[in-house]
Amino acid sequence: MTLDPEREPRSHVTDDDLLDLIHGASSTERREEVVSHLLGCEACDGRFRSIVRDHERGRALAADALTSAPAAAPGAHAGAARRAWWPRFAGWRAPLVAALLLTIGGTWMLARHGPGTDPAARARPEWLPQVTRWGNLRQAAESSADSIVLVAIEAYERRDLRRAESLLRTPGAVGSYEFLRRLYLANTLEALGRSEEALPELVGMSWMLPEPWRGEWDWTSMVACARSGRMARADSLLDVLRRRDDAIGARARALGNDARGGR
Amino acid sequence: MSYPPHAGVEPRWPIRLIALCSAVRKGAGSGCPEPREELWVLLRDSLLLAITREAARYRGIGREDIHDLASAKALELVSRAERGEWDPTGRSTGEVVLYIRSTARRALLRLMDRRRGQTSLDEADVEEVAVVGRGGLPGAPDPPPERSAETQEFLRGLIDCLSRLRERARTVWVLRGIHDLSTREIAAHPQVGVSPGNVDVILMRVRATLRDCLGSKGLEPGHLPPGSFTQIWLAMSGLATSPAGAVEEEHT
Repeated sequence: MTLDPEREPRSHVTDDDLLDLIHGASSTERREEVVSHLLGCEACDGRFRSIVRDHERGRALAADALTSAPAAAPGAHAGAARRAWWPRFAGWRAPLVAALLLTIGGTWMLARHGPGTDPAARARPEWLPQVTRWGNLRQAAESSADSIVLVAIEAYERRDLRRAESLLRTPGAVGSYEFLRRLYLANTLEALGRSEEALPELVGMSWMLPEPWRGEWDWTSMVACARSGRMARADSLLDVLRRRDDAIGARARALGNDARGGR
Repeated sequence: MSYPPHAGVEPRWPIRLIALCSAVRKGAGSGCPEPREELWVLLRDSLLLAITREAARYRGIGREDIHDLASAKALELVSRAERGEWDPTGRSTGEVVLYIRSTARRALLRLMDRRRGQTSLDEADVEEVAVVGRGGLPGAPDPPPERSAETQEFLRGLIDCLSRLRERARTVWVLRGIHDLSTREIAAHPQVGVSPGNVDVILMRVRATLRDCLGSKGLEPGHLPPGSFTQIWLAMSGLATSPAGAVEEEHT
């Protein structure tokens, strides 16, 4: 096959191309074409990276996943022996299947969410400090949106997280109040166990916040990254936090020393 | 950037899948894990892509849902293949692809059924797509990125430093630094096979080694520049065995 851009429709590589490449199934010629495209296409390179990541994660999980579903006995596929006993258990099929799926599911969840040894993975969300410690916050509120942030923080401090979340979902605050709103929203979502939703709130320039909020921003980001499987980013943030000479740095150092150094 | 013509190019992974199903059926009960694991991984990979594509048409389906569905369905298919209840032998690649995609779709619809109250698009609106050659992003492609000399220098330096590591240490770093796998996942990876604690020690040493190696080239450790993964992947694929002068010790 020859590449003739004048004749062929212009398009990116397909998911099937990438699966073939990862599993070593491509022909030599096709592999060259696909790799050549990937090297020049940032979007496809990103897709490829994502698919390889899922593939490597699958390889890591395979043994555990299959252990929960023991291999079939020799000759089980032959059918004759199975036919002899299976009808006797016909009425039990649904409960048996349900029990098997529950066992598999439980093992699967344990394998995925069980405790690991990553220092970042050991980190837990921390309640943000009392807002009263931050001097003139109330006096500095300039708009009704800023005031809503304050009401939300009060709800947060009462641990009324549902109300805090609904209030913090209201955008419109400005400057530091907007970053404060996002920090409290992210921390609330973390406390509710929704790290994936917390992460988008933590994108941006946390330097607009004074301390200790800036440090709490990084801590909340680190925990959200670790809990959503973004371990490299979590490691980097933990490394930064460890260098702090305050309570947050001590908290980070207390997690253990086995992830020193950035990526 | 060149554009690979994909019209009429049949996927080849289904051929591998058929062979693995046959091997798993013949080896049922033999205790040999390799074909089962490879079959599960291939099924999971293909189901992940199919479910992800299908899930874009629905609201309320998260990444974890997609991974759980793909893993569970792959497990079910491996079991059925072992028992001889699912045998794609003699099927065309297109038929295998269609089967995987319809399995993905049914699994997703069942999940949606269980989640009453969640809104889904009208099933009738879900378009059927061709079996072969789909998945490409149509339309005008992105322009080739103008990678700076600095980026290329960083990549060359990183690949050179990685090439000096022992294979297992390199794999551990790639699984963490590039793919974001957790320590537990890295420890369970078939190319690693050490305890989770050992993974953390290896990572710590590799980071220090890489930092020193990059530093000696006047480079700072940093995030992988966008669009550069394929270069790293190709380089890592080519480094099957450890070089004689490997500089990193991974013994604990």
